[in-house]
Amino acid sequence: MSSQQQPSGWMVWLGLADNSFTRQKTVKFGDASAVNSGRGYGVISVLAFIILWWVATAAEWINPIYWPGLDAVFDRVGKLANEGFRNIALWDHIWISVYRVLSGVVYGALIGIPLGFAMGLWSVAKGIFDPIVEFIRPIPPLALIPLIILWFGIDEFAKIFLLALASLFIMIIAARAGVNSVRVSKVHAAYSLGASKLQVLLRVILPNALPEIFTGLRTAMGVCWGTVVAAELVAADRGIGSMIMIAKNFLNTDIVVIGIVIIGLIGFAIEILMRMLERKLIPWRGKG
Amino acid sequence: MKALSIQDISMVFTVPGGDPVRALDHVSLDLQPGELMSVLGPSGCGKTTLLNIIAGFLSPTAGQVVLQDPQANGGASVVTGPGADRGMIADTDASVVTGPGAERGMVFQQGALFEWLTVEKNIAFGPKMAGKSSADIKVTVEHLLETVGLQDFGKKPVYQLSGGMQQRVALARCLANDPEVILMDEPLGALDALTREKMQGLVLQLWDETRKTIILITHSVEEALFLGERLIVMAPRPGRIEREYRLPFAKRGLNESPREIKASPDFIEKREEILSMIWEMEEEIMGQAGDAA
Ligand SMILES: Nc1ncnc2c1ncn2[C@@H]1O[C@H](COP(=O)(O)OP(=O)(O)OP(=O)(O)O)[C@@H](O)[C@H]1O
Ligand SMILES: [Mg+2]
Repeated sequence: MSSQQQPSGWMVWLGLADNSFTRQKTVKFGDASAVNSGRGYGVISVLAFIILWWVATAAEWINPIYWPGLDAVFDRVGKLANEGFRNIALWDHIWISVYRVLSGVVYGALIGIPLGFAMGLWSVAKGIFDPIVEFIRPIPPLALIPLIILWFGIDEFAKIFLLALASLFIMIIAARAGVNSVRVSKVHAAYSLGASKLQVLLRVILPNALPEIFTGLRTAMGVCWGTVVAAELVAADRGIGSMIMIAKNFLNTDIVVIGIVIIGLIGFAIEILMRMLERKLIPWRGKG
Repeated sequence: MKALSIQDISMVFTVPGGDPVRALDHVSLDLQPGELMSVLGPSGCGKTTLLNIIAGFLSPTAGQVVLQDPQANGGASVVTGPGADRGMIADTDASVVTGPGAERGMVFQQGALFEWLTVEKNIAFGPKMAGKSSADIKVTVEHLLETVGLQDFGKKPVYQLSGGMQQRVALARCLANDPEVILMDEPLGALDALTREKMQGLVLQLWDETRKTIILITHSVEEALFLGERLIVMAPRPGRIEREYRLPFAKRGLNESPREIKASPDFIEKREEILSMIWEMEEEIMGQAGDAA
């Protein structure tokens, strides 16, 4: 009866019914593509969390110092949006963090991409930089914060330097991988078509490396977003990380929670944006 | 048009920790302008190595490759370095190949197109590198798109094309440079049987229209017979030319139906002869490998 009917589009989208192709499959367990999105359950789990939050705080099961009430959070979001936090608008806190990340990634890429190319194409550069890169690569950028504070203090330059360093090694490795991924037959074809070394570099190796470079940029954005928040927790008077650190000192748990949610949302937005950009800018990815 | 002369080429690969591989052993060949030659042989007999040496991607252990104008009576000159032979071709009678150059075009099996460019821009790559005016390039590209039957696909990115269409682009890209010699390493190897037959027709047609010197490596005996005005069969260990044939089928293919030619008794007879020859070579290789073990 109902199992014979076509499932409605909504049920399929929510992942509560198999789509018409999956319905024809007899082997489902073990076939990862036969696992539905499960969005319906996602909605339920989010709603359950919010209801639990509301009930637990409204019934005063939890001390608001540890976890704020839902209504208090909504009030505070309105206030933050209107009045800002400590004389700085909420948007400015967010923007300064995003701006630090963008500058760090841009500087890291400007230095890292040429270095990675040089390492992929030239044995002298490979020899010189390989040990340095391999040594610094496993060090988490946060471990460098004390050293950077010693060198540069806690001003803007120190933060962007840290982020540039964090993205530098990611970009070096991505660019080098991009160079190494070129098929020799493409390079041979270009030379046979009369290209010079410079033309091979700019018209074959560079575009061929773009997908890898873009993956590097995406990773660098993610890592830098994590790093900037941590760096702001340590030392800053502006930025989303500093906002939650200062709020903690005043036991404003609601602001702390709002800050955490904003950090999560922006990290997510960066990832989505980069994926969209990638689809737009590098449609040939993986199709060579 | 220039003649291609392969003079006593030997190639030894030294592998660290292994025996040196004699990939080619005293191979000599002369191709007249406009000849179409196919190359057959069991896997590992040095076909790709030979083509890479002619293309200038590898420099041989001994011997040289010379391109020269058969009409001219001047001396030959040796080309020594990637691209160094470009431009020189115009004012010298002969040149020794020492690196890749635009007068020797390549068609690879697959994956050598630039997937970040459209069909048009792939074809325009060579003329652009040569600094041709965009008006000239446009004319060339349009003409070639028509020649290979892709007139409606110029603006498409190459990755949206089927394998057969991609090889059409590869042929057009190579022709856009108007090379003296076209070198093809299993250009149709990745195509399905039907597309492959169609493409064989296109190769013949392009050869007829352009009268280029073409060397085509293939694993298909049928393809080698059908497309080779000359056919060489190579043998391995060391890599050498085992037999050479002159065949009528390519010329006949210009007028007659390919299916009929391939079904004709003399074609079948040659096919069986070559198949059993290659079969024996493979047996011998297996035998040697068995002895060694
Ligand atoms: N760079 C290299 N280093 C060492 N040995 C090599 C190298 N290139 C080729 N060879 C060896 O040289 C021999 C000839 O190789 P080649 O690729 O020319 O054969 P082929 O006839 O094109 O084979 P196939 O039909 O499989 O494409 C093989 O034994 C191969 O292992
Ligand atoms: Mg080969």
